[in-house]
Amino acid sequence: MPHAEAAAPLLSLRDLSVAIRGRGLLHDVSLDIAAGEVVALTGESGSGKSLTALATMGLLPTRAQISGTLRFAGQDLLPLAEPQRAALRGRHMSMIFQEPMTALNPLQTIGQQIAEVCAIHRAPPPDLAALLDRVGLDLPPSRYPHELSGGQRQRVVIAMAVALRPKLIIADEPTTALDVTTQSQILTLLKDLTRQHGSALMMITHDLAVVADMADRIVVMNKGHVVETAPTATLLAAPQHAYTQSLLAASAHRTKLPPRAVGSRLLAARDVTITYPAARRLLRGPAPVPAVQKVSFDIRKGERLGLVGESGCGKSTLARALLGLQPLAEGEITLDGAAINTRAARQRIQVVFQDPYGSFNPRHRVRRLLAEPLHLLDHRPSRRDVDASIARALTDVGLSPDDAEKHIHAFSGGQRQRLAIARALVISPELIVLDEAVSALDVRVRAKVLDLLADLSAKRGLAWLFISHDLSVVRSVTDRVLVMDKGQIVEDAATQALFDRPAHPVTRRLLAAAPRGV
Amino acid sequence: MWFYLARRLLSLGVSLIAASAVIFLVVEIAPGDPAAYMLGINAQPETLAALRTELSLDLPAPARYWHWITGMLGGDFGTSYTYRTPVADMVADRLTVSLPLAVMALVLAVAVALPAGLFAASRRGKPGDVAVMGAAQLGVAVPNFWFAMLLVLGFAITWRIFPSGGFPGWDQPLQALRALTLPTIALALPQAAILARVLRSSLIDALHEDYIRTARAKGLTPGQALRRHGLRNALIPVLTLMGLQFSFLLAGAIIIEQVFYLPGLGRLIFQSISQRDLITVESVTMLLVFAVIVVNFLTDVAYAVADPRLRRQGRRA
Repeated sequence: MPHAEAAAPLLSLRDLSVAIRGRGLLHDVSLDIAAGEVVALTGESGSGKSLTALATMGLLPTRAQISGTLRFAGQDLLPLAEPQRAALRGRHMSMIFQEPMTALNPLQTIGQQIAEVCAIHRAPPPDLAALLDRVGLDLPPSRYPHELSGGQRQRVVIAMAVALRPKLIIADEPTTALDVTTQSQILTLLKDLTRQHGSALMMITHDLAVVADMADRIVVMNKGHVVETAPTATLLAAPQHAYTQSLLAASAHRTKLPPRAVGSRLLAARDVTITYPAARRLLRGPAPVPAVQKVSFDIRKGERLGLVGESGCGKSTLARALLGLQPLAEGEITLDGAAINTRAARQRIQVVFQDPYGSFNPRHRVRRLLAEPLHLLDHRPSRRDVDASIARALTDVGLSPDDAEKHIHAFSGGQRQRLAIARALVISPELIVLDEAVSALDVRVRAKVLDLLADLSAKRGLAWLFISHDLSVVRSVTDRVLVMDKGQIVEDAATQALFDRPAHPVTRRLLAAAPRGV
Repeated sequence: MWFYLARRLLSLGVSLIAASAVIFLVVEIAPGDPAAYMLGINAQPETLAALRTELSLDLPAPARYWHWITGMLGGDFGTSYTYRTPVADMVADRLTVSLPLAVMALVLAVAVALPAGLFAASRRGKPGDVAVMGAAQLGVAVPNFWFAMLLVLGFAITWRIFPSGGFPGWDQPLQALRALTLPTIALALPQAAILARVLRSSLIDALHEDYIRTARAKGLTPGQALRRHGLRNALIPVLTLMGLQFSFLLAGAIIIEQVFYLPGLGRLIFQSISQRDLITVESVTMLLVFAVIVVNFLTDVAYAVADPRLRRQGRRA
């Protein structure tokens, strides 16, 4: 009865629950996806969105206990044995993952890996050239993954996912690891391919702006529950559930910076050039590739400076140089006229990195972690002074002085990023380098951390260099923005002016690519 | 690729020169005069001097080093002080036992370890894994000479399927193979146990890689993903281990050779040391060092073949 089948949803989850080692992770999740429909699954980290996707694909760890029903194209999937689930994967439902850098087997060519999808399902071998062309890759199939950029690798993963034109494609944060320009290209590609093939798309993202203009419906998840499901326009305009409302409020949140109060010149970079040795060949000598070329700029006391650019443009290398972690091939960086890599300079510049998980030693207590920069001081402070500085730094970032005796695993990702900021603040620096410091955080946590920065600017007159690929965040927390491209600063303008009247083509490209749904 | 290989070749050459110098020096420092040893305590001083001249022992050390090195390059390993036969001939003779033994033992070790490691890794934590890894633990712990004696007791004395020792020579290939069977097993099993453990843990690491999840999303079952994508990635550390094991098997078989009374290289070294046959010790040691270094080079080449990233980068990541 083709008619009845057309009416039934392609994918239907009813009361799906998943527990691992007795711990409930998904609770009674119900959702439908119709053929050809684009549905976004959103929520903060740990909300169960990826788990829902893995359960649908049949890729949960073997020790996971799953209950409820999972129907796909009229078939009940949960009773099926692994070989039957495997026969569906790649052919009728496929998945694209978050981290393209590690998603491909490093020992096989991209062509072999794409062709395997067809081989494993006993389909005729694909026209690799046509398939690569369809995902916008102008590369021979004989390339290995390590020869490709992150965006290119994600296109290969997409090629594998669409090779057999499956009815359902699941994309789990497919662009989170990519820069804005690449992100918008990949989203467009996914949108076009699913439309051409008539596939349904389950799009998992923590960033509502990414899906606002492509999803038909949005499913909001929190702590393993579905809290709200509604058509995109309805949900964005009139969210019903309190959690959805708080998510939207946090996404739309604009940090209020205190008025610009800029003092004398703090840091000066002049003609900074940084080179990496090129891959060595047998006969030719190494020709150095400049990662940063003749870059000059100032940061004034209390100034809030942004640095944006596509990945590989040299912004992180430049940040490392400001911290004295990267030798300069040419030029100089000075702090109040003195060299940057002295102990005196180091106590005036601190840094917060992107990953709040990897940057703390798990065996030390918070007190010891935060006291670490204090050895930069000329006079070793007394224990009482140390305690006082730590208590003040913890209070400043909205944590409690009692937290000093805890270990790092007691804190969530957002709290850890606050601790990273507290560690940077503990010796009262004048400048903080924030290298993608809020990129890994959920929207609500991110809003709080940004407000905290604004507060510190008001209280301490802190200056910062805010490096990010997220232009909306840069816009809300900076006075001035540098745009980098291919190792050079191509535009240097006041934030408002840059966003209103971007002068350089690269700036315009970045602005055009930025998602601005919400 | 070529840059990588050229670098490896260069390091091979440097290692060989350094090793030869060290070997020569150590033997030089070792006490005892081979000529005196050969003639016994009652030798006349004139006879002794004559023999020393004949053996070139009266030349200064650098000259003797040069003589030794250039001789070896031309295939002349010197003449044994004890047996008065060319060392090269003795070595060649012993190699007909040691080389097949080492190769067979390694092949057997891999043949056992590969399925065992795959089996255990694909059933991680289940009874099959526990059983295989328990057996491997035992294989690592049990000394191989004891295991060899068990084999002799079982297969040579009780059931009389294989000979308990000795080597008839390759004129009788079937008998020769039979003579080498028990030593091969005794040598291979402990190595197989180590290999299987390393392969299992390497495979389990590989199973957590994102590309395995991608493979399963393409429609591969866990077993297929393990064999098609996990195995080759997991083999890279195993290759390193195999290189080390082959070197060990070539020279380190001395105890097994002793148990089975086989005329192999290990026993040749042992005899030469106890008889102060220094030139034989030097040359055989150098030969073994050469073998180890060449095997390491081949391992590096195998790396480059296995891992496309090395071909481009020119250095190990």
